[in-house]
Amino acid sequence: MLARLHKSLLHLFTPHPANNHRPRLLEPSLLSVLAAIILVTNSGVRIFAQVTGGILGYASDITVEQVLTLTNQRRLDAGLPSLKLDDRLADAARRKAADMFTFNYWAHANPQNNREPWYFFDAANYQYRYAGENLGRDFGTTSPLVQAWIDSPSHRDNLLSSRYRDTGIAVVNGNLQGVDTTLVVQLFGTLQNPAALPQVSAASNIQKSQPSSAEIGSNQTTDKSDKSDLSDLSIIRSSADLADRQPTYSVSPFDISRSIALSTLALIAVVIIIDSFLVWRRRTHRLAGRNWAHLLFVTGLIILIAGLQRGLIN
Amino acid sequence: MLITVAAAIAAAAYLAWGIIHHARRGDLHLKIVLEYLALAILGIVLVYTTVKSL
Repeated sequence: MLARLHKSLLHLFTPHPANNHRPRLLEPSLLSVLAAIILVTNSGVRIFAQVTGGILGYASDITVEQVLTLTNQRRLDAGLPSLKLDDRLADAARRKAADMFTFNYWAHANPQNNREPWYFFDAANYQYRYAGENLGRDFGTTSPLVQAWIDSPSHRDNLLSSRYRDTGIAVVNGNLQGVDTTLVVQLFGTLQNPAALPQVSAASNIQKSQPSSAEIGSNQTTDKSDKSDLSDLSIIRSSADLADRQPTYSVSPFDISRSIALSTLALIAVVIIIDSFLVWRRRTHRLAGRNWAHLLFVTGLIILIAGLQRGLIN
Repeated sequence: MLITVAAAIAAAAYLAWGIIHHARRGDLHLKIVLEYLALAILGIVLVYTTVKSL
């Protein structure tokens, strides 16, 4: 029994007179069966994830703490001071996220009532001198999200700006434009006069129209209508179609499909290399395709599939 | 979608190259064509299913 299994495996993966000097795995019939199995398996996984509503679906591991930690890590690496988590900015970020879900839009400005991000800074009583906003959606973990922001010049400008002192982060699950997703809103800000505006109060509204000498001295206006002082708005978008709001699970259909694809291609590549070596050593003459061409094609596919990322920049 | 199309184009080019290469060498055989075709189809299926699950 064991000897039979050993023989079958040898025929499957190595050239031999019994398999006409070509591993069975590289035969058209078996490659076609493999393609059919993969097609059915992946479709099954996707359908199962949709039907069960998330058992194999996707769940985001992103947390406010992680976004803050990675943001400050990047800032420290760049020689910048850490950002402080501000309750008012966090409130503004949550309001912005709620607004996006309520009005079902994916943009910095609400297309229905033209509310800009600054509206939420005001609503949360954060009297800003500088303000900025980064958005992200459909990312599975925090690291790719922050990396995507870093890779985009306009987002990096916000993340690594020396002008900001505070940040507010909201990580909210919901259905946006028909897609269940995790939305991340990160707001950046610097108060007009941090010392004079310790808390949200009516006084802060008065003080915003009375710039301090320090503010004037820095040649910056406190007039919030002057958008030239505001950092560029930045949106990060991922094209993933996330399918889970349950934070219990963390395996996505994408991860499964990619693992299957890469494993299959790696196995074929290994078999091609073994086949090439044995045929070369045995000086076998046979009727078969070019192994180096197969290997080149398979390697290209591996690079393509390995490079696929859930998160994309919009 | 664009990635799947790119993979399909690469697979078609790979198949075409295989046929032309073996035809010029004088050892073109249906078995060889099927070998290239099967690997090309498998490649497209792998890319398609991965992209589809995004």
